[in-house]
Amino acid sequence: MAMKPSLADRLRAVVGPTGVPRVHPEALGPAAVAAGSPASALDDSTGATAPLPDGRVRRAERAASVLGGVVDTRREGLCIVVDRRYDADMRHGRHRIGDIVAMLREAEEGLGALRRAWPAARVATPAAAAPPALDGLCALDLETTGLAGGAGTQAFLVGCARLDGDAIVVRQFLAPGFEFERAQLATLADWMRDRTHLVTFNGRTFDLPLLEMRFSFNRLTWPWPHLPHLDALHPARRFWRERSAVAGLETDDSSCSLGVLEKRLCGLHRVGDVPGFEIPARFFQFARDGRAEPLEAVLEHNRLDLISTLFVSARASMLVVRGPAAAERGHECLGLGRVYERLDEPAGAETCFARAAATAAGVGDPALRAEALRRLALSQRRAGRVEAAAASWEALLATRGVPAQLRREAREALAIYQEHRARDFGAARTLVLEALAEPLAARHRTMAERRLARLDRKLVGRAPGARIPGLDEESF
Amino acid sequence: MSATPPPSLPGSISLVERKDKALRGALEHLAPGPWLERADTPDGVITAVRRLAPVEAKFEPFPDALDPRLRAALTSRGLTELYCHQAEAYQRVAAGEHIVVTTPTASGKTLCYNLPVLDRILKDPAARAIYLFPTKALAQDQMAELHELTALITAAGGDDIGVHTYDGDTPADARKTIRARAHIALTNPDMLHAGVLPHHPRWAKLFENLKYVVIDELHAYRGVFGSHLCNVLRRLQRIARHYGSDPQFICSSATIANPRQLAERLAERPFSHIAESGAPRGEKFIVFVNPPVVNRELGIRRSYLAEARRVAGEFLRRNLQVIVFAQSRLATEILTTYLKDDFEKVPGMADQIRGYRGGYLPLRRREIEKGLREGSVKGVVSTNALELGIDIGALDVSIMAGYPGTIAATWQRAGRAGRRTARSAAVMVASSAPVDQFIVKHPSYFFDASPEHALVNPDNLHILVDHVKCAAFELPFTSTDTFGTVDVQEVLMILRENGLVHRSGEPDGDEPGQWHWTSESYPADAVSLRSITSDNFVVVDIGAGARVIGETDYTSGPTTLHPKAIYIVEGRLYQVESLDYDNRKAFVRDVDCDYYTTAISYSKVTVLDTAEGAGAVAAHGDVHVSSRVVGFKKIKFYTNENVGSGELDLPEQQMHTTSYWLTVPRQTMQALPYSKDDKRDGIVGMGFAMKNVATLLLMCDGRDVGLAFGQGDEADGETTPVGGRTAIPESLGDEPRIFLYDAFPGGIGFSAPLLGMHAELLERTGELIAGCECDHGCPTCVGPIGETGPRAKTVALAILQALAAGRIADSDGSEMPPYDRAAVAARSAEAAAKADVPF
Repeated sequence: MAMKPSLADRLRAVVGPTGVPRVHPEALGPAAVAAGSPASALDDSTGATAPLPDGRVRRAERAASVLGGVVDTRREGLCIVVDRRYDADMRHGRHRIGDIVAMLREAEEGLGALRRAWPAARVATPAAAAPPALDGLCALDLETTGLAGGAGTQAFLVGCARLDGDAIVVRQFLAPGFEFERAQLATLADWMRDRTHLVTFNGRTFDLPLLEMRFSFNRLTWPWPHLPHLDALHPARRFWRERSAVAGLETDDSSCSLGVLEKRLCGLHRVGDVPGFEIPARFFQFARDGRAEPLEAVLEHNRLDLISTLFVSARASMLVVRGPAAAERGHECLGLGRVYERLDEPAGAETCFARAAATAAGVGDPALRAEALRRLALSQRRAGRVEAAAASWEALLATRGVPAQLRREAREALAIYQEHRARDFGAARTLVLEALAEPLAARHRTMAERRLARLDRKLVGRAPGARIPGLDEESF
Repeated sequence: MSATPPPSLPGSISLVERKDKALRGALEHLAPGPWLERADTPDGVITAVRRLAPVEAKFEPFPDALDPRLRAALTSRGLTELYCHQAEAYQRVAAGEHIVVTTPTASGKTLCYNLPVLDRILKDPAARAIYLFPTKALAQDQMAELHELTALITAAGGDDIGVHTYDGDTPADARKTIRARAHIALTNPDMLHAGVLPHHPRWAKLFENLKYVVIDELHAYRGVFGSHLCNVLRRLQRIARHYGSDPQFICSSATIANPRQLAERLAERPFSHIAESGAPRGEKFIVFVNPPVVNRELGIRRSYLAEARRVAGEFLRRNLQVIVFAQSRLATEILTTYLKDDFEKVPGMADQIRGYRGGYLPLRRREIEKGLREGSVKGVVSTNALELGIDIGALDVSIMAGYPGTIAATWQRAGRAGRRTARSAAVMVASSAPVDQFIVKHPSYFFDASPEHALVNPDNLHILVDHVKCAAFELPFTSTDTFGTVDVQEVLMILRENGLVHRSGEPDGDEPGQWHWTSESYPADAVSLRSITSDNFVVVDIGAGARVIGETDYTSGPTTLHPKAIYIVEGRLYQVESLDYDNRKAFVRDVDCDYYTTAISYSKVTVLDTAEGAGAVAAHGDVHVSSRVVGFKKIKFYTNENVGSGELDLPEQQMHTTSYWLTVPRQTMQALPYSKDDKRDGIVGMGFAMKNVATLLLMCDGRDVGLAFGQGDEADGETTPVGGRTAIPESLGDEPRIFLYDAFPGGIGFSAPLLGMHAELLERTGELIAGCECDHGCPTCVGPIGETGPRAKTVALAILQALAAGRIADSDGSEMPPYDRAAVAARSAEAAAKADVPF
């Protein structure tokens, strides 16, 4: 009879190797490499890399000194607090910190406008309330133990940035171990008491719900149910998301990640940045062995993210304040128009669309020009200026290299205009025939054929210009 | 609501009389002769007609403590008192007990949980409840019923009670509102596992105030699903404790042998069992039909579908409302077509016959259910989708095309006909499957026996480890925590070796340490409650531009998706062009052919550890099974002819599981007056029949039990059949051994109960083989001709006789008289309890 394996062996067989991502040896710094091989550092049950003999306080203190911070001790436990000051003359890519701060101060009103353009559902900020002062602003960014969310995902690092004169001050709250989350959140909530509004990058769907879940997990009250919040990802998508050349209107979200934006808009090229997927593993390793060296890069990554978030918010707000003249590229101008639309400023929006269309003609970007003209036409039609709208659609059709989908939309809109407004059935018929000459989806083809038949009846039966009851019922 | 006593309208008398007469007419036509009190005739076509006497209703007044608004709501629906089981449920829940209610279909079971839950919410609006249903459709059905009731409560001056389903179909924007507002969240175990528990902080309000967990259709949670559910409930209770609540469990179950034991096993709490139903029942006839033999040599009977069609016609023709249960989706569609054809000439009738199965759109299903309740649908052919508690009203006749597989399911389906006072009938038409034939020829096994035990093994290591991961993600374990009844520290230790958890806190400090989840993954995503491992094969249709058309679990991948296998989805045939084993993908293309395939696999079973209580002949314990698909056969549709075969070379699959085994002693084998080959055939035939009887006794699917043959102790187990077609060893040595193993890694608790039922297993195997009409063995008894020799049947019976004669010598000590079901049931329950030992 074969030997029955031990429970531990059977468990090992069931659990199997899971391939936990390991931290690259260089990341540990010379001290850690000298102390032990990083591979065995995973297993804290062996003597070689057992937790440092210090107590938990000393362990946290050691980590704090490695990271250049201090340990905050309170009833709930320990939290490592790391402060960094970015003076006006320091640089972030090609920009001076002082210039970024100045831009924010100049565009303060734009920040408020963008917040109104993407109101958070739950924030019932009274419209009459005075806008929060810029000195109460806080940029917030989390580093987490995973991206999946759920009760088992912790925000081990909460980074906050605020303005101080012409400098930026970053404060980071690091949990010195899983068991200190409550202390970390309490320390954070204390500091945040003076903050009056937030900016984040993708915070609306990721950072804030996750942080709220952490407070709730620890049975703590969520302190900011009504804090005004701008998620800079939303305006960034409008201004800077690239449209892939082939599909015309297809968009690619990766083109407006924070990392891409800071490169494009700010000229920041990070050196030795820790890749995002490696971040959780670095914290897990710190939790196991207490060595904080690998976390230094994580904290730096978080700090750069915070400053870039402030920069992106500043740039977006600036566009809103200065208007289309400040837009450097056609896409920005188009995006700005769409922001104005959200803010219910159609005049400003149309100026942007017209300018974007002109810019696009200049640089030979038919997709952009068509999109700008389309939005212009739609806006004009909403305002009841149908002739102007028709002219915009005509301009769109006169552009070479416009995506088929937009040509179809333009022809349809124009055909409706010619049939019902201008009452030029012949012109309408020509447009329909042009539309039918191109490949069409079955639904659109059926509609076009129906229109053609009706136009034919109108042309045969009645003199041009006469109204036919019962047939002229299509809403315009 | 189903508990309302029927109103005695003046016109209804004649309707009842008309239906009574029609039913009597149909029964007389089906079973001529004295059918009121008739003896079983196992050899005939109608093997049994049993009459169940009508039962009077037993009422109790509304409890005094019942909230007046709830009472008013019930009164406004015409309810003036409660059935006694509903009143008892209310009292016991009020006394703080966990309860499990088993009363027949349509006895007002839902009020047993709705009454205490709604009463509590009215008295304490902060109170919350979770209802668990095995399917989404059932939750929808219950929500409709609850909404009706809560509307009446609001009309009676009660506050609004939020009742919401929360499942995969719930729109994302509604979820937040539901989390905040639902007094009662109706969901399923899968959603609880992957969508609720891992996000418990969002559900804080519900968990802080969680008073009741209602588990409907408890009997559905057996085997793998039940083993998972127990672990999900461990997680649920852990989280409830974290939020300071301690919910009461209210379960309802169809009649199984061990409802209380199952409830206690799943929730790990003491339960009281409410078994006495106060609901009335009209007189009911149960008829067993065995299609006549058309080829005695091969043991072939008339098609059971054709026979079911004939029987259904008898009732439909007399304008009775009929439900026909078919065993598969395909059979459902075939029978629906047959019946529509039969009634094509009757104006409007064909449209009144409908099919019903999973895969139909919800709207169509609701329409059919409504038609059944209102009588506009005369006949419905359904899969087991209508077996559970969907409200379709009271039908006149229930016909089962094929034995439903378990006594419990048969009663459940029979209960779909004849609700309260009217006379009704249920007819079971047996197919030629061994289990069907056994039941139809031994009606007393069915009628006099207790129903099956539902077995679970929540401590199966694979299942347990998966849920420990999920639990660690949800809430850190402390170094003194247990998980349900399991000491979880050793599991956590191994998870730490893999870097999945980390133990914080000073090892020598006063505070207990904590185990934190240290992986980026979201473990619940990787765990499916309906199988043991979440590893699976996906089926990609390359004929239509690489579209995924299905999936199959890892274990059955090689047998169903080997190269050249025919894969069937909703009646469409696809052929596997290649199997990418490492990436778990099978590439298929649709084909037009008239055969299907069945894999030949070879398994080797090695005994690792013999558990206590083993005898010289029968034993159970841990085994190692390695199996490999070595080839396949092509089988022609309808005729089941073998039209070709092929060889395959696929990687070996290995698993550690539990098994029952029977060793035929050397003396017994030597004493048999047959040749070596005949003896081998006898053993193989006996194993084939034993496997079928085992699935009957264990209340499980044929695929849940594997069969392998081996030899006594010197050499470990050898070879076998999985999935119907077999690779059987040429020789079995002089001390052959038959293994019946759990076909799931880790085992789900079949082997110990099977040892407990050893005597009955052999007894029933003998009856199955002896009772078969074939001359030399057939697929109904000892297996297909050609795989066992001509004497298989004779030799198998001789071995069984010899074993029976020698049973006193078996080290069990206790001799078991044949047919003593009570003793067998007691022993198997005891064995099942013993099987609870975790590792």
